[in-house]
Amino acid sequence: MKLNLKKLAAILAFSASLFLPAAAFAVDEPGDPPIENNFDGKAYFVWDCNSKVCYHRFEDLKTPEQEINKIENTEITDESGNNGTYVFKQENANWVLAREFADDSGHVLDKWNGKTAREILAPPDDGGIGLNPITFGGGNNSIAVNADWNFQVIIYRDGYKAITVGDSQDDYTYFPEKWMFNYNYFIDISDTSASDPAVVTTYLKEPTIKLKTDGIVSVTPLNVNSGAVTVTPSLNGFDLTFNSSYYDHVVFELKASDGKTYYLMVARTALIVQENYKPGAEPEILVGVMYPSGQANGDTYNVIATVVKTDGSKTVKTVSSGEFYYRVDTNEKVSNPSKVIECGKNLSCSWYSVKTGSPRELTGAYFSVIKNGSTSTTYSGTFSGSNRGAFYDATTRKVIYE
Amino acid sequence: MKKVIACIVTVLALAAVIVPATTRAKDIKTINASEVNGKISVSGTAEAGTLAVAVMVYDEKGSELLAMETASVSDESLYYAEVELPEGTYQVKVADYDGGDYKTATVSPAKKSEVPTAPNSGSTD
Repeated sequence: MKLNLKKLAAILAFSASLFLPAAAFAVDEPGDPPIENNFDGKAYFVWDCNSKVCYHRFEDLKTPEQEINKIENTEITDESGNNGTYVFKQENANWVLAREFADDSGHVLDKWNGKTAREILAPPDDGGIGLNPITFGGGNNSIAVNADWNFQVIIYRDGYKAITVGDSQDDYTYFPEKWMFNYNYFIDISDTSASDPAVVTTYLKEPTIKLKTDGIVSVTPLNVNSGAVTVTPSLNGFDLTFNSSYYDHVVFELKASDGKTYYLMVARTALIVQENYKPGAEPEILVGVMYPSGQANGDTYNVIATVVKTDGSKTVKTVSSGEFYYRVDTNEKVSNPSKVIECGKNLSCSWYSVKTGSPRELTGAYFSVIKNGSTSTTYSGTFSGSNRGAFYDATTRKVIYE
Repeated sequence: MKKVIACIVTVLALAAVIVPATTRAKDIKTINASEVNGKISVSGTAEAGTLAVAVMVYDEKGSELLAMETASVSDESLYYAEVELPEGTYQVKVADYDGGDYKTATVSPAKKSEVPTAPNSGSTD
C-alpha cells in the first residue's frame, strides 16, 4: 500500500482537533494511529487451545506503509508444544508483539507462564498485551485486522477469493480521511450471494471505481437502470463508472472463468453522521457532508432530515450548514464562519445540526442532501441520497444506506 | 489553412478531454398521484435517459416540505414512489434527480363513500 504514515498521521492529528471521533461508517473506529511506526516485523499469533496457550511466531510482517500481510490459516501451526490447532475465527485468538511476549531467542517471558490465552490477550489496561484487533474488512473466509496500527494482516482459509478495489489511495480522486488507516483493498468475495454480497465503500462522487479481478470474466450490475453504471473492461479487471448519485448501493454479479459466481456491493457515501448528546445542550445529530474541494461550501447544500420518533411520527426539516465545528479534545463547539473544513484527499466538509429532541424518543433520521436554489417550479438537484435517504439508526448508532 | 484546421481539431479534442461532460436536466413527462390505503402513490413517466427522480410532497399551499423521496427510473422511463402521510391535501412535485422543472399534481383524500373502488388521482400539469 502506497501510504505515507507520517504524513497521514499529521493530517489526522490536525483533523482530530476539528472533528468528533464517532463517525458512523461501516468500519470500526480507528483510534489514534502512531506518529511513527517502530514495528520490527516480529509478532506472535496467540490462541486458546483447550484452555492452554498456543502460539506461532511470525518474523517478517510488513508495516501498513509497506503492504497488507496475507497469511493462510494453515501457516498458523502451534509452536508451544501443546499440539493445538487454530480454529478459524475462534474466540480468544489475537496478535501480540514479539518483544512483549518472548525474549530474542523465542522463549516466552516468565510473567506469561501460567496465564490463560484470555489473560495474555486482554487489552493492556486489563493487564494483557493483546493488540487492539481493529477490523478493517474481512469476509466469509478471511479476517482482516489492523493490530493497533503496527501491521495490517489478513488471515484467510481455503475457499478465499478476493478482488482488489483500488490497491492504493492514489487510485482514488477522493478519499475521506476517516478511512485512511482502515483501508483494505482486498475484498473477500468468497461465498457471497446477491442478498449477502461483499461490500466495498467508496466516496459517492468518485468518478471511477477500479476493480482488479483475477479470473473474473464479466461484471454486471443487478436491478438498476441499464444506464446507471458503465462497466468497462480494463487491463487488470473492470472499471465501474456510476452515472447517477442515486445509485449509491449497487450489487454486481461477478462471473469467473471457472463457472463460479460472486457478488459485490459498491456502497457510495458522502456523509459522516454522529450524535452529540450531552447534558445542558439541545439534542442534535451532526451531519457532515463531504464534497469535492473548491466546488462548494456550506451554503451550497441543505440537508433534508426526516426525524422519526418512537411513536412513529415523522418530521421533515430543511437544515442549513452551521458555522461551527467541534474540537475532539474538549467537545467544544467552535465558530467556523467559512463553513468549510478539509476532510480528506480533495474533499471538504460542512456540518449540519439536526435537532432531534429527546434521544429516548428517537428511532432515527433519514438524510438526503440537496442543492440550494430550488424554486416553486424548479428543482436544483440532489447531491446525495436514495429513496428516503441514508438512515441513522439511533439504536445501533449506525448509518443504513437504503 | 491546414494549420488552422489542425488547431481547431486540436482545440476541440482538448475540450472534449478537459471539459467535463454536462448532462441536460431531463423532463418529467407525466405524473399521477393518488392516496391509497393511507399512502400517497406517485408514478409517471420521464424523458428517455432519465436515471432517477426526486419526489417532493408539500402542504396544500405548496409552502412547507412534508416529505422527500427519490426513486429510480426504469429502462421504460417509468418511476414510482410511495410516501406515508396522514390523510390530507398535498402538492406533489417530481423532477429529475439532478435537477430540472417540476411536474406537479395535487392529491386529496379519497371520497370513499362516493367512489368506493377508485383512488383519487391527482391531475397532471
